[in-house]
Amino acid sequence: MSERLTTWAVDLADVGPVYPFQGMEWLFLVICVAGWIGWHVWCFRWERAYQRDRIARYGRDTAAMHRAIDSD
Amino acid sequence: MDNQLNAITTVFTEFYYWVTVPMMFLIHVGFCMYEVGASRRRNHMHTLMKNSMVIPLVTVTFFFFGWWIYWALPNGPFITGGIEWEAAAKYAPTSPNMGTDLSDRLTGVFWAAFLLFSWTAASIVSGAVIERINSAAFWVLAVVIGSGAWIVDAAWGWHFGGWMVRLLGYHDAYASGVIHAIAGGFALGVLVVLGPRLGKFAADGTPRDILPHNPWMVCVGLFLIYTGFWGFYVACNVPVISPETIGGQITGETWTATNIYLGPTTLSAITFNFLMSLSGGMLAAFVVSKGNAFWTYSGGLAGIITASAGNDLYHPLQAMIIGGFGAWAAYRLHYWVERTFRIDDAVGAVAVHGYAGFLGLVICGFVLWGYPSSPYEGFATVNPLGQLLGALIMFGVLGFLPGWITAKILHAFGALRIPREIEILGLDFEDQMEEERARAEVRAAEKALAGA
Repeated sequence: MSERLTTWAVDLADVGPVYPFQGMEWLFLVICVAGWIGWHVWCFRWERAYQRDRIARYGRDTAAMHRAIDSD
Repeated sequence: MDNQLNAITTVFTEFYYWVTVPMMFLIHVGFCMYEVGASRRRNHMHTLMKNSMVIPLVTVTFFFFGWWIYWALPNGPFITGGIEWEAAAKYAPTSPNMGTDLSDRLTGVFWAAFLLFSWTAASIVSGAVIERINSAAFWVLAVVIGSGAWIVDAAWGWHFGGWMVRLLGYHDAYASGVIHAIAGGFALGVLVVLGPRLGKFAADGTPRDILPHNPWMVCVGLFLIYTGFWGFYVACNVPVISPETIGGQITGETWTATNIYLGPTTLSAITFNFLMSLSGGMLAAFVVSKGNAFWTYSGGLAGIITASAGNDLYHPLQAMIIGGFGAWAAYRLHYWVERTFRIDDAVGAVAVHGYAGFLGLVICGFVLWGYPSSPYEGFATVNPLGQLLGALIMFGVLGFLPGWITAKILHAFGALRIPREIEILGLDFEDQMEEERARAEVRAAEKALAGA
């Protein structure tokens, strides 16, 4: 049963996959894989930018560093 | 499901694996708790998110390619045959079986049971590297072990047709090697490149004790891992199968539960052995650590892990002795490696999972020497040399090496370790300052009200 599901008036023994847009799985896979790889790239960039910003603001602030150490 | 017996068997099996999934979720909850508890206050939210994001990342990549690898590579490939294209096609991400399919009621729950093992493998590594690894780098490492290295080892040594089972007689029923030794080895490979936390070692190399910010939370986390471990054990079995379906050398018509190799065992046996190896580990760890709570809980885990390779067949008293030895050895090896090689394993993951898993495989080779590794004809029997080679493959070839190589690549791009200033400030520094400001504001408002 590869066509779009329109009724349950069927013998279930004859029913296989029932999800919509069958035959387009490759397209969905390409979209999802691209999203996954893009997520990793975004994370590397975001984390680096986040750290650079914090270093610029507090990297030479000895008092802030001492406060951070004392917070444990 | 064309008759009642068939329907009951199918639905029971479907439900059986499904139940293991929420149970194994507790392993991840436990890992997060003990990892966050072990981190210092200035790092704990980043530590939590580092491990939590293992869940979506390993899930999607295990769907994309991890599950296919398991079914495609039991022959190596090119050790006992080629890539199993036909068998694996059903488990490719574009296959109808990997979707809502009324003619296939098991693939999803079986996939999920394996997936939760994948999370565990990545989560084991997560604890060892806290407080100085870039989260983005760790998430790449998590995918490499969770949807790559471990599932290759499962195809080789945790599959009824795996080449290691066939040629070496490799036996690892509850994953001493295929999850724990590999994850421990992988973590060690990463740690060698990553280096210790700032201040962990004195100039003369003497290790300092970096205390957890919440020891109680660490122990409850380990307690939760015990709980989830039940699901892990149950998920390693096939709950009910007939000799006819197995199609091996077993005669008669008695249905049975089996291990992953389709060799007979019982839930009764693994319940005995789980609890006795846990107990042996806790008892030994309590003594060797002189009552240290963290190591006593970790010792329980090390006890189970050491006995796991053969817990489908051991006697409970054997499981207890093996578990006790594993916990003792893990504790001793952790501190020896820390002192000798200046390895900063923040939660003892390499010892509890890696060394205990390795030793468990070797011990199993002696205790189950001559036992069949498979119900099928032509497979090598369990033996010490096969288990030792298996342990080296798990810990070294598929664990340490991929971890070390991936960490080296990330290091070469300057992406592995957080900058020194961030490590001192703490990963949560700004959030902490915001919290302090908010608390101070509320306190001031309350005092004003109290005064008025």
